[in-house]
Amino acid sequence: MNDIDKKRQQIASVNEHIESISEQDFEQMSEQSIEAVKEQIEFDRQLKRALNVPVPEGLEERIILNNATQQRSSRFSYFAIAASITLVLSLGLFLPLGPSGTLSAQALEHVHHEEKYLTLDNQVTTEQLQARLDKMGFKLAQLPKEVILATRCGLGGEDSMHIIAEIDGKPVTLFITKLTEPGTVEFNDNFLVGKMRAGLNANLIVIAEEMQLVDRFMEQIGGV
Amino acid sequence: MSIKQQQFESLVKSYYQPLYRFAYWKTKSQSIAEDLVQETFSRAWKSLHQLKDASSAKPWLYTILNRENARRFERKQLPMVELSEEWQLEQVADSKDDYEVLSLRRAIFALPDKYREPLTLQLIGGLSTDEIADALSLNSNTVSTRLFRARAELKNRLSDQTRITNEASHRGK
Repeated sequence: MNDIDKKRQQIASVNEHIESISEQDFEQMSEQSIEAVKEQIEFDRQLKRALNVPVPEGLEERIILNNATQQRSSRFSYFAIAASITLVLSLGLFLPLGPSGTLSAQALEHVHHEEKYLTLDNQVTTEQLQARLDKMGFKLAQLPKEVILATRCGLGGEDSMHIIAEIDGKPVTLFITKLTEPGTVEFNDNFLVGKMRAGLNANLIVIAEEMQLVDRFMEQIGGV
Repeated sequence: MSIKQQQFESLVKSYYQPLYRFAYWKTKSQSIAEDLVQETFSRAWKSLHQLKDASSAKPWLYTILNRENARRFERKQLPMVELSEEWQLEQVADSKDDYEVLSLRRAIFALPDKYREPLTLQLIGGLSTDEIADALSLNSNTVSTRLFRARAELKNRLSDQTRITNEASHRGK
């Protein structure tokens, strides 16, 4: 590298230039060269200050929220499009959740894992839903209207029912379980909100992206 | 929270600010910059499995942003209302910004894209010359030349601005 190239590199990237100078070279640098490097560092400092425009408030949260919303929407679209009615995997067998953690936290985890473990779906008729509830020994005051999945799951290590329904095109998840979490009525994480209520012969856990969906679903199944 | 979700949130936390600033100087618009950053992270989520090494996350994200910006031009055929650069600069101005900062912003805005892009990748993104070369699909010598010319051009524009301001103040006396 000749002197002109060195000078250009110094101006193009003063930090990389400084890193490339050995201690010996530095001791041999003229006062004028050192001054030029200092000026360059100062100019870059001014440039960084000018480039440092304000970032919109709440952008980080919006990015994370939008991503979570997109995952939920794409998951739902996938269910809606799939034609097969065969349920390939049982949630209870594959979810990597043990009895650790609270029931509400495990329920939220189950919802986050739904997209990974379900490969298909279809509309579940009222008759099919009632048959599956009967088989599990669960009762609902009223059946939900638009069910796209109803299966056994191992929430909390117990035989529970995992139902996904739709309200206004948005998924709402219902767990029916014999387990309880005393003192918990409402819960949430960064993306989902949920409510727990006592049902006819088991506990009802409803989870969705918005509380109004949870409330409307609770009302639909007579859990209010 | 899944490991993927944790990785994603960690990336967002570390890079959303410099990515937004880079996008702002690239698009010269706050709203487009925000959309672009959203689209960048959305794409990053889908391709997160491709990121094998955390140390390569930074140039990877800037490359995604550049691609998403190119997609934006492919997608949008609608006529766009161009807002004046002066208005866009006013939107990001703060009462604490001094004359030096405002003059520099004007000069950076006026730089040709081919000079402004490597400069902002270097100073906002902290990318090395080689990383900039990869992100912009250029060779390293071209990047060095453009970085050199960007600074030379900025210094020229600043001295022109100072000269015009001085002449105006002389005429005012």
